[in-house]
Amino acid sequence: MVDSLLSLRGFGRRFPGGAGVGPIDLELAPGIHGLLGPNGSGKTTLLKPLLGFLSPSGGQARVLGMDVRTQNLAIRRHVGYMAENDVVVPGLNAVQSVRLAAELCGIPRAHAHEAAAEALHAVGMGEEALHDPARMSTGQRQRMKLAAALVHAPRLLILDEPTNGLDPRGRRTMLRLIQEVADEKDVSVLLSTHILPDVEAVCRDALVLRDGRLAAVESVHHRTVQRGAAGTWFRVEVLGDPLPFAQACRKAGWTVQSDDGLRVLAPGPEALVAAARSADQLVLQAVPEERGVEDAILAHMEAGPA
Amino acid sequence: MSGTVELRRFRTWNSDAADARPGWSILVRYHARTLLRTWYTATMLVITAVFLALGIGTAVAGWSDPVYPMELSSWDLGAGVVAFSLLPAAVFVLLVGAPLFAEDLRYNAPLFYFSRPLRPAKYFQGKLVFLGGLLGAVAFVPAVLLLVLGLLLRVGPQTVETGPRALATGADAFHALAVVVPGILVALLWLAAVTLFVSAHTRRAWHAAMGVTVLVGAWSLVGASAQVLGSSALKHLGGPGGWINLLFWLPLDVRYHDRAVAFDERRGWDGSAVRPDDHELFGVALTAVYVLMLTTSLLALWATNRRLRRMEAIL
Repeated sequence: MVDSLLSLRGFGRRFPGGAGVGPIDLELAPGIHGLLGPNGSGKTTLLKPLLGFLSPSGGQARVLGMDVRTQNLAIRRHVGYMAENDVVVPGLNAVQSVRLAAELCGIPRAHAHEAAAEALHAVGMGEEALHDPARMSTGQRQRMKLAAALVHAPRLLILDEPTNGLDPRGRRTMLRLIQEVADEKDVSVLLSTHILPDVEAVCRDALVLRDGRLAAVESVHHRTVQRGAAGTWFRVEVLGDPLPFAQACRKAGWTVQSDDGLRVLAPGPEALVAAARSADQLVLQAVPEERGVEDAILAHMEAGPA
Repeated sequence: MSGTVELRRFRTWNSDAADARPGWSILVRYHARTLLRTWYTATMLVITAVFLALGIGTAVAGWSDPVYPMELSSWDLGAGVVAFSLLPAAVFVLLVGAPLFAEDLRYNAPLFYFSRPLRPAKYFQGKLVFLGGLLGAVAFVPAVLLLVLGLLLRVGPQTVETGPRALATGADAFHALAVVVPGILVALLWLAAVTLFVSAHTRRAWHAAMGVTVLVGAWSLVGASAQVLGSSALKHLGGPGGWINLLFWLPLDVRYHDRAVAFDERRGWDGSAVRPDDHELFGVALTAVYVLMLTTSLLALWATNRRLRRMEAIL
């Protein structure tokens, strides 16, 4: 068992023109984590350098203690990756594909078939594993991809949008499968998705990405708002006109919402008091919001520029 | 997706990198297995085997006929061998070679491979070794077998010649081996390299097959144009020496030279006059052709490898 699942220090990948992801500082312990963000927030762009598909443009990253720049083949040996898109090896059925995946990951040829059979059994595939993947349903293809990702008993499973294209029942089954596979195999999971309920269903915490930056790390299980990179939401009441106070907060770079009372995403209550003082205002109360994780994450996802 | 998912606790596969087989060899094995399992490629393999067996059998029967043995010069034999080898090579290049990368790209298979501990270079190596092995089995080995049998069994001019003419015909047999074998290798390498290059740049196998056909056609067309339009001097420099013939995919149809020199013939097969320096030019031109084809092949392989390396980044 490794102490650190993922360790990022100023890590990022930027493309010419400024698009991309990072810099990100993050330390993740083993467990099931959600990587959450709207489409285009940089989730897949963050995953690619972790697997060595892209070279990072800055910072350091270690996956399972291994450096992504120098040990990406070793990382791929210990990580199972389930891609977002359909991935099919032409001419091979599910059994053969999973077996090929096993052999490529270093499982001896004599044991590869057994490993493939176990993985397919674990994801609930029976006879349909002998069919041509082109004739499979979306759910079956997703299961096949999951089996191929976990056939070599990885220590970390990276799942990119695993519920894409599934109907509600299929989605529920896939999520339960992820949860059970993680428990049974004692494997850590990094679940990349833009669907909040998926994260709520299986993850311990959610890493919220917005515009290529880590906006927050929210605990899912305890349903308490943790301090994210952008701060904590406070419901604030000030004495007198709230406008100068709101302006002072915005000037400080904090997110302010005033449609339903005054809500400020600020580093802490002391900072709010200081901002009020600079605007010659008095803070009557600043209450940290105890909201459901969905609200909290949505707030981070919908907030202004990170 | 419905129903309860029954789970069993997995064993842990302690996959040590040192025990693992090279990724490219795994790919070769899987491709070979798929080749044998796919009905149309398996059928074509059977047809090719019959064609090769009949071809070699017929030739051997003709050469070793005790009553009317077939007379055959080395160059006739060489040209026959080349044609014999290129036909199955062309069929399998279009049927099996063209889809190698194109079909993978169509179904996102590179993502499957590259998310495992397999470098793009090894992925490329696996495909190249597989195609090379296939062409070797269906084209090179039968051709060399035919050539060797032909040289051993034929009744050729060398059996009756003496003096300088015998020396010339002895050299004829040496040329047949020294030129035909590398010639086939170069031609097959070129064919494989061009096929893989085209296949790596499209997502449809039939597009790749058409691309290969067009490239081979264009190559031949250049040769044809050169022969038709070239001046007499250029013809002598490039044509009889093998340059144009190689462009025509008749790389070793150079009997015109040595036979002309050895047997005092005045005209070549294309009607042009034979000059004393033709023999010298033959070596220069043929070497130039080999260099050109090898360079083209290496460039195509390099470009394909580069394309695959870039592909890893855009998955």
